[in-house]
Amino acid sequence: MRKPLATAITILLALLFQAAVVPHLAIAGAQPDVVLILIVLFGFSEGSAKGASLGFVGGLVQDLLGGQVVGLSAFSKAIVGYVSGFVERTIFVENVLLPMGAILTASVLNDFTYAGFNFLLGEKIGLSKLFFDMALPTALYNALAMPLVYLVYRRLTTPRPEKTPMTLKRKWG
Amino acid sequence: MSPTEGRRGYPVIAALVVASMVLVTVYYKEGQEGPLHRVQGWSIGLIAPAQSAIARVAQPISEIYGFFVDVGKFRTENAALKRQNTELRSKLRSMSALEAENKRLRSLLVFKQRTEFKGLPAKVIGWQSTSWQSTIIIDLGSNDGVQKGMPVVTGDGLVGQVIQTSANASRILLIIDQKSGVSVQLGGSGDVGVLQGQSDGSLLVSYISKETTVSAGEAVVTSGLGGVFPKGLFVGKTAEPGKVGYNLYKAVKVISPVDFRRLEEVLVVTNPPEKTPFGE
Repeated sequence: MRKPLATAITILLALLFQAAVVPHLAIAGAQPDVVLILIVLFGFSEGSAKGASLGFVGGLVQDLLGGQVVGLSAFSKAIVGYVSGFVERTIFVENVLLPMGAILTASVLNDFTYAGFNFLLGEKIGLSKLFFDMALPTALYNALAMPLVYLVYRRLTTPRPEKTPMTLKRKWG
Repeated sequence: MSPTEGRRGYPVIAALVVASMVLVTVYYKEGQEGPLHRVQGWSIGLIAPAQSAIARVAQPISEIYGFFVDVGKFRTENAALKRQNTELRSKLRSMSALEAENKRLRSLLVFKQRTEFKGLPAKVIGWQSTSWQSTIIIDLGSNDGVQKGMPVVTGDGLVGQVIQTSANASRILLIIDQKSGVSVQLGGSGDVGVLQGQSDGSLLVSYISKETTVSAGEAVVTSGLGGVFPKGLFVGKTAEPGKVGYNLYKAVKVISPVDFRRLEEVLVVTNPPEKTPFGE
C-alpha cells in the first residue's frame, strides 16, 4: 500500500477510534488523544511541512465531527505537527522514554495553543487549572498510550517486504 | 529531520495558521445556518452509525476496563459501606413509615411528570472525544421531532440540551461542559444563580448572594429563566458550602446524581411546560 493512502486510512481509523472507543477509556476525566499522537509521530518521520498539513486536516475533521469551533483544533494540531518535524527521527531507536517525553511536551503544547486561541476569542481559563486539570492528565495518558499507537502506526504505514524466491525457499525449505 | 528541512515548512505553517483563522472567523460570523455549521450537522449523521456500531462492540471492553479502574475505589467504598450498614440497620425500623409516605409522593410526582412532560426516549451512541467539550450524540434527530434547544433529562436529573440536529442523530451539550450555563434555583432560599460545568467535571452555581445561607443537601432545580430550560427540572443537591473569601458572590458546588460518563439512555423533553413542580 502506498504511504499517503496508508496514512489517510490510519488517520481515518484514528478519528473513528477517538470518537467511539476512547471515551470509554477515560480515567478521572482524562482521555488520550490518539489523533494527536499520530500527528506527532507523522511529524517525527515526515518533517514539519507534512506534519503541519496532517495536523491541520486531522484537527479540522475533529472540529467538524466534534461540534467545536471549526479551526481551533486545526490550528493547534497544525502547530504541534509542525514543531514535531524538528525532532530527530532517531529518537525512537535510542530510548522509549525520549519519544514519550516528546509526546508529553507536544500534548501540553497542543492544549496551551488551543487555550491561547480560545483566550483570544474571549474564553478564559486559569493557568493552573489548564495545566494541572486538563493538559497534564491528557499529556501523561498520551505519553503512556504512545508506544501502542506507534506499533499500530508502524504496522499500517511500513510497506511489507516482497516475498522473494529466497525467502520462500527458506520458508518451505 | 535537519533544521534546513524544518525551515522549508515556514510557508506551509503560515498558510495553515491563516486558514485556521479564516475558518474561525467564518464560523463565528456565519451563524447557525452557515455552511460550516451545516457540515457539522451532517457530520453527526455521517458518523453516528459508525459510532453506534463501535460503541456496541466497545461496551463490554469498556466494562472490563472500568472494572479494573474501579477496583481501588471499590475497596475504600466497601470499608465505608460496612460502617454505614451498621448505622443503617438501627435506623431501618423508624424508616418504614417514611418509606410509605415517600412511595405515595413519588407515585404522585411520576404521574404529574407524565401528564406535563412529553419526552422521546433516546439511546446514547457517541461521546465527545476531547477534554475541551462534554457532549454526547443520541440516535434521534429532526426526523423524530428533536429540535435545537430541547432539554434532555434522565430519571435522575437534568443532562443538557440539544445543540445540533441531523436527520437521525443529535448532539447534546452536557451541563458539565464549561460552556454550558443553566439558570437554577436553590431549594432552601429560592435564590437564583447560574450553574456551570468545571474542568474537572463538577458543577458550580455562581452569583448566589453572600448573605444567603446554603446548607448541604438542598435541592437545585432549573429556574425557568432564560427560556431554555423549563422551571423545576431537578439538577442535583448542594454540597457542603465552601469559603466565600473576598468574592462578591457565593459559589456553591452541586452534586448531580447523573453519571455523565456512563449515560446510555436519555429523554428529550419535546414539550417543556411553562410551570412545573418545584423539587425532585
